[in-house]
Amino acid sequence: MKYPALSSRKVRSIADELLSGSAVDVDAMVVWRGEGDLLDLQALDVVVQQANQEMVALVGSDRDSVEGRLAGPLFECLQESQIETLDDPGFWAYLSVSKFWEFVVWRERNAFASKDYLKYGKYVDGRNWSECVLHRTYLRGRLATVDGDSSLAAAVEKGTDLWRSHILRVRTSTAPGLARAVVKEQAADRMDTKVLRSYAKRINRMWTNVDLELWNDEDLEALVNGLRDV
Amino acid sequence: MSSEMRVVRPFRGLDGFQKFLDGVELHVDGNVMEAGSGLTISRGAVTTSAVEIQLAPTDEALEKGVDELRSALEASGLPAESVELVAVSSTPRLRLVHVDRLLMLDRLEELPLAIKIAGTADRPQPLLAPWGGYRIDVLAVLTNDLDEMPLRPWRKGTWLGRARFQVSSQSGDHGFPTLPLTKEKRVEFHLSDDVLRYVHVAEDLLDQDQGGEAVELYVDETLLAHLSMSPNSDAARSFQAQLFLDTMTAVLYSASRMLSQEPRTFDDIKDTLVGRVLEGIAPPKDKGASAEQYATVLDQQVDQLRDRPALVVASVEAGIGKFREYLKSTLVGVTA
Repeated sequence: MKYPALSSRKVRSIADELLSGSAVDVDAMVVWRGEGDLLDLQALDVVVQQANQEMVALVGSDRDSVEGRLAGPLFECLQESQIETLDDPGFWAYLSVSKFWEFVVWRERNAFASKDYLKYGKYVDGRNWSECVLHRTYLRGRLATVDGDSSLAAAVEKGTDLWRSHILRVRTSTAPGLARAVVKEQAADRMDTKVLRSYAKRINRMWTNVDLELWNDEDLEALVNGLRDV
Repeated sequence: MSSEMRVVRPFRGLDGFQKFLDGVELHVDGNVMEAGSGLTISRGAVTTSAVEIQLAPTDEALEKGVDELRSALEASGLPAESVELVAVSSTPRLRLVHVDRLLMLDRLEELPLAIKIAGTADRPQPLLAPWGGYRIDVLAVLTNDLDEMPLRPWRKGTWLGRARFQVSSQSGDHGFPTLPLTKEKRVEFHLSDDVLRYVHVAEDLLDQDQGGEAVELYVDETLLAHLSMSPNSDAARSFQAQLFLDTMTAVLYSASRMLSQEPRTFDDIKDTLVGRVLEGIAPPKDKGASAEQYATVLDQQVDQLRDRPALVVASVEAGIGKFREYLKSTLVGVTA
């Protein structure tokens, strides 16, 4: 499949222009990578629409909950895409400054308010996969979804720290069953920041000796539940 | 100053497993990788090249390896039917993992010399990621829980020995490949063993539609392997930035020489690597400026490259994000 991508330098100049209020024809600036038919990104318009509605409708300050609710639909739209596409930082950069620009800026409003690329660049630059809003949302959707049900992606209120620091950035994200088990624990009985950090450390230390990717979901749930009680 | 908590592996009798795995090789795209090593290949090769685990180089060595594993089972007190050789492939950016179960150790007599992990068309998902590359861990692991005993692994999934291989793709964002400076390449380019890096620039650098293929950055293969193993440290990032700058310097000076011999406009070279670099460092287009006016600005960039390439190199350096912080961290130990 042919897909659109943007270099990190290009995405920076586009983002700078968009933030200054200029109209930018992003599609005219992309490079097309891959071969064959064009990747159809129209299905993503439904996710964009949902994002627009959620941004307006949100009551309170839990912007992460919107990210969580978009994660499943975003993953669903892209799950048939080639790995070559999803692995390309330029693809996520393209989505960030095109279809999902308003959502990305809204989600990380403080960083974008600075208009300093050193502060907000990581949220649009696809090279930083755990920070780039679109890429991390996709990963969250993939990790949380089981048989089409992605509700776990939004199961934890104000889950930014959980998802970013204790799932995506660490090895837990390489074992989807483990990630889901951790989310379930936090959703069922919320740990405060300090307790959660200690708990996550215990899980991370397990990896030192044990390859948890070899475990099944049931065993992983029992493990994370047991580690909570240490 | 930083502190790190390390967990000591509290087990006895596992040396034999590790000794066997230390001798395992990974064969990728015609390259032979030793345990613990890294390899950088083209993005295309990452997603298409055959990958094979070579458990031993010869039948005799394999027999010796089987003996080592049998001794290790005895020394550790672990039942052979609870230990398995597995290969775990993973790719960082997409967090994809694939597990190949290779052989239970109660069937050691069936241990083959080599095991295919991927062909051109049949590949595990992590080996389809051209940008992130992949890692393959070959492990001896426990397949089930055992009764707890002091100093003996008992938990399912505990690894008893490990061989790790890191396969990285050439830098995508810079637009030119980073390749290992092997013995063969040193001979080809007439380089001594002491040369650490070399930039090869094609003579048709300024031809239309030339991409990254016009430039190849070669780095001493051992150095490159070290870089691949810890690419995110400040020192590594600093080195990568310096490599990028070295490459751009070679490219821009070559382009300058070519422009002196054959004058060109920006339009002539806009789709080349040099064109993209010049466009990247050019002042942004004024809101009121016409396309024609801006074309003049870009043509001036071309002229500057021809006449004063050092200034263009300086502008490229200024555009490397966080270069100053990484250098500072490397030189005086301040975290960026």
